[in-house]
Formats: sequence, C-alpha cells, structure tokens
Amino acid sequence: MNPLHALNEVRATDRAKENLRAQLTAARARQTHPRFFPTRPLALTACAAALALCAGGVWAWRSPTAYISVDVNPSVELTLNRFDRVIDACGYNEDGIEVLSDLPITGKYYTDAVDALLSDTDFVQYLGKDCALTFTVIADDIETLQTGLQSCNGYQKYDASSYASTAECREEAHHNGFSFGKYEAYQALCQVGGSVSLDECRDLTMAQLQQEIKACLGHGSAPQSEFDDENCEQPSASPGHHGADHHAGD
Amino acid sequence: MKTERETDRAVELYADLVRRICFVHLKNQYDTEDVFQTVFLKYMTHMGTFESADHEKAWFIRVTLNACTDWLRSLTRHRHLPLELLAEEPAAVAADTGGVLAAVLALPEKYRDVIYLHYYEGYTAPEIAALLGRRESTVYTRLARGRALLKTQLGGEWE
Repeated sequence: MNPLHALNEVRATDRAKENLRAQLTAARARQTHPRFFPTRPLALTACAAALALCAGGVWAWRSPTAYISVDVNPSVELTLNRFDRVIDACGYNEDGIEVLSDLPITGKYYTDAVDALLSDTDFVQYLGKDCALTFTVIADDIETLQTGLQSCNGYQKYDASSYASTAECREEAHHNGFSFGKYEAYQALCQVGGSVSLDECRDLTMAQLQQEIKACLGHGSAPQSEFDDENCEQPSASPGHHGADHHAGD
Repeated sequence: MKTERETDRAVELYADLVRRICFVHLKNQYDTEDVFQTVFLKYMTHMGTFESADHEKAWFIRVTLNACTDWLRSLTRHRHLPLELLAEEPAAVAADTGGVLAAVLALPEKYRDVIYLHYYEGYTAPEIAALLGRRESTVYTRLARGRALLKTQLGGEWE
C-alpha cells in the first residue's frame, strides 16, 4: 500500500474544475479579444494635450515679442517674451558686456530687470550728471512698455528718455555691431547732417551723440571738434525709418 | 494558444495531480487555488508541443512545483477563489490520515518533493533528477534523508 495513499483524498472538486474552466475561458477571451479600455484613448488624449501645453508653454516662454535697448555708454539689449519677462540680455559694447557679466536679470519681469540694472554698481558709475539714459523699445504695444519703463525707480531720477524703433532697424544695428537704441541715435544724427562715422560712433556716449544732433540742428555746439569732415557714413544696409527730432527734441 | 478542447482535457487529466502537488508543497489548502489556476493558464498559453503523455505530465509537475515556489516567494497574495468553494475543500485531509501524511508534510521542502514524487507518483530517482533539474546523486541523498526523518518520526508505521 502506498504510504501516501491519504493523498488520494486530495482532488480537485467538480466545482473547482468548473471555476478553473471559467477562468480559462475568460482569460482566452481577454487574449483573443483584448478588452477595450475607454480610459486608454482618454489618457492618451490627456497626455497629448499635456505635451502640447508644455510645448506651447515652452514656445510661448522662449518666443521673443519685444526688445528694450538701454543705452548710456554701456549699451545693453533686453529681449522680452509675451509675459514681459526678460529671456535674454546682451551687451553691445565692452561696458555693456561687463555690466551684464555679474547681473543675473534673465527671467525677471522687465521693470524689475531695469530696476536691477539701474541700481547695479557697475552701471551706476555711468549715470553721471550729464548722462543721457535712453530706452528704445520695439514692441507691438510700445506705449504700455514705455509706461512701464517710466515707472521704474531710476527713470525719473536719471531723467531718462524713451523712443520707439523697428525690427528692421534692430537687424541693421546688429549687422553693424550696435544696439538698436544707439543705432537709432546714430541714424538721427545722419539725418540732420552729422559727420560722424560708424567707427567714431562706437566711442561716443549717448550724451555725446545727442549733443552732436543738437549742434547739427543749431541748438548747441558739438564738443567733438576732432571729428573729421566726412559725411555720415552710410550703414551697410538700408536705413530704417526714424526721426532725428526724436533724439534731438528732448 | 491551446484550444478550449485541449484545456478541458488537461483539466480532466491533471487537475488532481496539480492539486496534490500544491497541497504537498504549500500545505495551506487555501493557498493552492492561486497556483492551481496559474498552472493551467500557463498550459493554455504554452506554445510548445508534448512528445508524449509522460512528457506532458512531467511538464505539469515541473511547472506546478515552480509555481508553488514562486508563490511562496511572493509577498502579495491574490486570491480569486469564491468563498463557497472553500467549503468543498478536503479540509481535514492531513488530520484524518494519521501520522504519515502529516509527517511528510512536516518534512523540509527539498525532501517533501522527492518523497512525494517517488512514493506517490512512482518516479525513479533518475526521473526525479530530470524533472527537478538536479543531479541523480542529490535526489538519492534527499530520498535517503527524507526516509530517515520519516522513520525517526513514525518508526514502524513508515514502509
């Protein structure tokens, strides 16, 4: 006799077998006809929507919509996104590059960025009594941006001026190695018959450029007597529109 | 995937065998249900063919033993057994069969399996070695030690 004969009593009952067959049938049906999960397309749609939102958000954040050129002697340009946040800050002369090297303003709201810039120790040293702090703006809504700039702490304190420019002028300015704010002033000088070359312009402060313009208009005398007599050098690209009175009239 | 006819045949032929191995290996009768279903689901999706009935039976034994081991290792227990089925289980099997089965169930796992396969299923040591993927000498050793343990516990009642 098998010493383990007691195991004969261990059997799968009919109901257990029935239950097993039902499980196998259900499993077979699941494998043959995969269950349709209505949540799957929904989840996929939600994921796609979330991805699209993220991509859209990144695109919206990174897309430039406005530019501010801040010029004294240092020339810096701020690139703003549609949320009026600074997404790029670039110096367009040696002083501008140096000022920005220790000034993290990327990501800040533009008025906060300008406040930070105008209170920066390096930048403040250029804001003397006779400085000409100028803001030049390219935007769809220039007025709003200029109003914001005028509310900045240093704007009134340093008797700043603000002007408008165009994307074409900015492109031309960059082509010639200028910030578009300073290039606007240079163009204004050319229009009133100024005799400053592009290379000479690089060494002039905004205050000196404005004095040149005033001198040409007969409102004063040019301090830079060493300038040669050649006519204003034509820039390498066609000039954009800008009014000399803008820069000379303040 | 196996057809419904094939799985029905396998359930008729091997349900008792699988149930017994589960019972011997897991001891807890209620835990056998999960492994029971797992083994037949594996059979249903098994793509290979069997050379003979013995080959098929050996496959069921091996898969059941592996499933039992996996089940014991798993920390999470998923039970799908309807409560009413539990009442039909041979709950008092071990208690009613005197000391022999109880003593076998009390053996360490490695001895329990070879004792069951040899004494109940009638496999020889070389066949058990092939089934379990062990060396023959190992199986002989385990059989001898299992027998010795049973003799110690049961005295003349064993063999």
